Amino acid sequence: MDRDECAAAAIRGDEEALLKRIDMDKQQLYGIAYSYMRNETDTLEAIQETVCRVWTKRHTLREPKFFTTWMIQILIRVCMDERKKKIREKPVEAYVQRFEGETHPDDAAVRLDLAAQVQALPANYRMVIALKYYRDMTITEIAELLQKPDGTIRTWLNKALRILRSDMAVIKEGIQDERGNGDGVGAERSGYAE
Amino acid sequence: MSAEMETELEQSVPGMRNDRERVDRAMEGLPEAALDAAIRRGLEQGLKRARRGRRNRLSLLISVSALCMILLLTAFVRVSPAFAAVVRDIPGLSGFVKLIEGDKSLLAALDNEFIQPVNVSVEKNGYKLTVDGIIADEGRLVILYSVEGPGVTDQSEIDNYRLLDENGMEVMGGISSSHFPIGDSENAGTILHDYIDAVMVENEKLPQRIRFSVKLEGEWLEAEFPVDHDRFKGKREVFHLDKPFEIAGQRFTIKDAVITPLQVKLTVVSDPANVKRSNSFINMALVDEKGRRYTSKGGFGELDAEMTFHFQSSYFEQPKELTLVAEGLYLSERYKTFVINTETGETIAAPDQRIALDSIEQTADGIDLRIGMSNLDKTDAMLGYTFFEHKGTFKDAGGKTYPILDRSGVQIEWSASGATPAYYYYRIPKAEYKQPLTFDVKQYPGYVLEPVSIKIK
Repeated sequence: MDRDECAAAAIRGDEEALLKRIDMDKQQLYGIAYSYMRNETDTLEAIQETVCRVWTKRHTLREPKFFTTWMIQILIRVCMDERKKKIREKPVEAYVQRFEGETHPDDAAVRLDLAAQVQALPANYRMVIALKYYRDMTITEIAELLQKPDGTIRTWLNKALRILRSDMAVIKEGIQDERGNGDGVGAERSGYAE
Repeated sequence: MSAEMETELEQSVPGMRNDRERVDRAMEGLPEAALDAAIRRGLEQGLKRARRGRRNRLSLLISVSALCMILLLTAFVRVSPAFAAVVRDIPGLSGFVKLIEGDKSLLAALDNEFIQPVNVSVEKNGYKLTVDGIIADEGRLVILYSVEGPGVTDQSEIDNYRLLDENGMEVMGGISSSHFPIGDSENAGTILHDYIDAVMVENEKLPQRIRFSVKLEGEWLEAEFPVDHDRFKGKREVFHLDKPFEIAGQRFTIKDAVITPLQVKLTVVSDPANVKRSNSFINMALVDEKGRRYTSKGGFGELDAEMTFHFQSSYFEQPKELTLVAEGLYLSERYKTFVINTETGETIAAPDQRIALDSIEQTADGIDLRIGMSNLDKTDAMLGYTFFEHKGTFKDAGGKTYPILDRSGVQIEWSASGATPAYYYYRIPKAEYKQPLTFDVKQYPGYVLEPVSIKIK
């Protein structure tokens, strides 16, 4: 069975065909989810939920050839919803904590700050950043996946970048302050300036 | 914004490239086994969720579909001037004939003396309730009753009514009353004639005994009477059809048809692969070889899955042929949302620009929303829509889920001509919402005209 035949069988309710078809795209799914989630546990959870929704909503897919796009659209929605859920469950500090746990000594501070800042963005901005800068997608590709006009995606991207830039400026100042006070955390972040 | 400015912006975010490389490195070691396991778990979860979904739909069926039926009923009722003069002369029935003259099945039943005289009366505080007779088959019960008492005229309104079976359980069905004031109040009679029409839910048996109560001028009166099942035993014709057909690119199958004295039931199943949500058929009817039309009053279920339509009965006419005809299909897009701000009253997104939040009222029990559908044409206005899932939920901007409160069914106000907007009333809890609120839309106006004709008999 080729991709489309497999997708068509999956839509009709063939479980094996569905698994086979998803297998063809799993690397891409993982890449997108990981770029957004930034940790393995949440990434796998998002993929699990996506497969679940793919199964229950399979009747709504008209053209088997759009299977991949359709599934990624679902994944994107799952990822963006996931964040909402997390925010309700945990205070923002938890993110920093989790990222600190994974830090490596080299550019840890930069990564920590940027990753945390991206995580703090509104879900749509964060998704656009993840797809554009971590998955190398074009504006048009992103627009198709998020089902928005190109112009909207461009606006989101620019707003996201502006927020990141201004946040980074604030963080930079903060770190310099800490350093000036001889704060230990500041010292650890010495690799910050590029 | 120009490309250069974009690049400049990108470069102004320090660490982006580094962070990207970090992500790439982390993904090089793709946790294949864990990923495959997550995919399998997702499928298992999906299988479970699909099963649960089906169960939920069944339990919702009764309330939602009962609603659907009543709406169609009222929209389709026409008081036709033609009715059998013979029937008018049957003693004791003249008061009812005018009431049921719009219903072919009931007139034919009366014509064929398919009526069970009851004559049970109860009296309380000067008020008297009489059940004069019933017309019943295996799936439908019509109670002809009258009320007398101080201040009661044939223009009086019944406040409320209740139908219980022999065990005191509510009768499961679509229950309606169609009381039309039939004369002017100056010459009002002193007896109020009315009838209650109960159409049983699929697979629900008509009770052996009925406890029927009406509330009038603040008084509840209850009369109890038996239903003689022998009168309609074996009076049914069944056709197993499994006939596929298509309207507007949506596929359906007619499963079967059951003809009994008071109704024809026709079950239609939708293809699960249908792209759009099918809401109902337009001007659906059964037509016999003499061109007589048996119209539908709606039915039970959801056409988007499976629906049993009820038609006026051809049972006593005994036609040689029956053909199902419809002029088209009511359908809507799936996965539409209605987004509103209940603080400003603003409608942010709607599936159709004719639909908007009309007003908001704070009451003791919650916040009442009135949603207006304007500029509906005659065809649009003929159907009542399940705009939001009955007893469904919605989300605020914080992602928190809240229930849509039950107001003993859903209230809808509309004119069959579409001349005035239709209003749908929903109640939501009082809460500290993060605006805006997002509701999933189920059905909304929209149709395609495409006639079909399918032979049933």
